[in-house]
Amino acid sequence: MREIKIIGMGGIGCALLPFLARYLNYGDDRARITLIDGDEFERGNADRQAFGTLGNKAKVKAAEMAREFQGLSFRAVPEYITEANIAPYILGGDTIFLAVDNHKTRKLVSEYCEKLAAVTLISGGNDFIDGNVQIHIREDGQDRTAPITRFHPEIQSPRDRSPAEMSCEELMERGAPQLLFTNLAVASAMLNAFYGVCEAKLQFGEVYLDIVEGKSNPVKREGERER
Amino acid sequence: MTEPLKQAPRIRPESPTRTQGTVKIIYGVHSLEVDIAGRSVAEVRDSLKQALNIGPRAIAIVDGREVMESHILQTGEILEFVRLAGEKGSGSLVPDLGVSPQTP
Repeated sequence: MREIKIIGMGGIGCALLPFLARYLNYGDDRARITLIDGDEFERGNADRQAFGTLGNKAKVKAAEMAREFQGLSFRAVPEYITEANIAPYILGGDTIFLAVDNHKTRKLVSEYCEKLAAVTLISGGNDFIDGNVQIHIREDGQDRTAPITRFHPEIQSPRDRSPAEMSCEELMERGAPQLLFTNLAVASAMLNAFYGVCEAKLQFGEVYLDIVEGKSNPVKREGERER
Repeated sequence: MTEPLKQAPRIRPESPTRTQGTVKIIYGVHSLEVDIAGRSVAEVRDSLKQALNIGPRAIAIVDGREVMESHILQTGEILEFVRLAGEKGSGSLVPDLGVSPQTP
């Protein structure tokens, strides 16, 4: 069974999930999708995120998807990923969509993945009108593309904190302006990368995009090769 | 073409003693080819940091390999300054688009 983990059910995670589920639901392989997020959906998120009810984002969305895509298995983990709880949720052979809003969690997940013999990590993030997607592939204990910390000192040495380290007041205030369309563009780029990995045709380790300039720019770096 | 890219040709070498040749420069979605062979990575970074808003933490990569700031660029090389990863929450890159951004 193909194991998919989506960490972060915010603007990007919400945008990519239904398309990923539809693709997998009608594919040849059985798949289980695990949604991981400790955050609660609130009405104030409705401009960018689609949830049918209030409640924990992972639980609400897993229930919605299970009703719509009965060929798949869904599991909800209503927690933020931390050093203390990461082990059972990320396993060798997993495909992980990392759609979080902080570098601290990106570093944590990346460094955990670097210890696994095989894993595919697809990480996306954005500012208001631009963003990027990074793809770290490990096979047979070797990096096929660079870890997401490799060329990004802001992830290797994060200056922010994970939501698990914040107080309720800080969590309420942490939101910065976000644009639904940029979330969607990043989610689409993450799914494109996933397809490239599935078809063994991925040509890059990172792609940048800007929705106002209408540009995307894939880059390939040292040691990265077609797979 | 955006303002930053219009300004980019200003980094053409002025000294006739320098090697003439084209280097491709990448920063995020931007890419441009300029005659800067013979210049160091540090010189190019300094010339373009305002035009392309290149961050001081941006790692320099030439032909896919991380290089020192003293690396002298050769004709045909590709120089990338790695743009910092998108991060919801930075807030500093919100542009003035003439519209009010959505509140989260």
